[in-house]
Amino acid sequence: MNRKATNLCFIATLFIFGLFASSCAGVKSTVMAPKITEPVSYTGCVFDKEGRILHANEQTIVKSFMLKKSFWAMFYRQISLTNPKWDISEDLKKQIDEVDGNAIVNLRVKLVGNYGYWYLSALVPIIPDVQKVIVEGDVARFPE
Amino acid sequence: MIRIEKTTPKSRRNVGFVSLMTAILIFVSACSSVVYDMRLLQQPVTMNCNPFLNECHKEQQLTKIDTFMTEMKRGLVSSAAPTATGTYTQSSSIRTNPIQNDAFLKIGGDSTLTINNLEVHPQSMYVNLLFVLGLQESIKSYGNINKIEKKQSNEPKSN
Repeated sequence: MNRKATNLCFIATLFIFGLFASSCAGVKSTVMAPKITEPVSYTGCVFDKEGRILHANEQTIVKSFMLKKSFWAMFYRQISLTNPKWDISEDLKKQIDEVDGNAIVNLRVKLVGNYGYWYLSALVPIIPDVQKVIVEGDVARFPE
Repeated sequence: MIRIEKTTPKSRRNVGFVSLMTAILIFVSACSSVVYDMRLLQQPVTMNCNPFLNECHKEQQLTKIDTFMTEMKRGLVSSAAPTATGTYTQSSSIRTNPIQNDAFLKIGGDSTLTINNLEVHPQSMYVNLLFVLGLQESIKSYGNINKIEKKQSNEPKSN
């Protein structure tokens, strides 16, 4: 009888621990653009065919854009509820084709968190966590 | 028997309610952010493999010479402990932005060097143990450092 009670207590403890562990404790994600052929630069520079550095300026930048995506996960980031890999190749290609550009420059990636939500979701079990990733940049049309 | 009833005036109740709702709204809508920004660097650093315009790099080739890894992060730890007279609360925060410095140290000043295939990995980690709160938000990046070299022509020289 004592052994059964001990086993039950152990299982109950594991269950309660599992419940609290499965509440949020963060999210992982990856942003990449492997399929696009035009240069996607984090700076305002690209190379021309002779290997010289070209700098984007007000004349060459034709458009600014912003892409947003939310990522959900639980159990200390181990269970991803959305695809943690975000391939922005098609989205960037669409931005370039809209204005007939030939490069993406000044790319920035921003991670946005919310104090109130994570305080609550880290405390209460089974609530998954969310993080928002924002990608901003400019489309440039360099003279050929 | 005299019965004394404590009543709170309506105006005082409303003020209390409004203050509480304001505090809750501020708490819920407060945001934090981490930005991966390399715009001050004056050399190409690309997310994909091609730093050249229109794939017009038939005369140039990229040779991988090293890997590149950097991280932009923000962290906060706050703890509260009871004391004899009240509560002692301590907070410490850290914010580092070494990404542009790290990139400049690797390729700065040399126009034949570039970083490509630079994927970014935004991630967050939160802990709430009632008396200890911790959060860390970071953006890690991994890429390759390449040297630009002119492609050697394989055509035989004619006399």
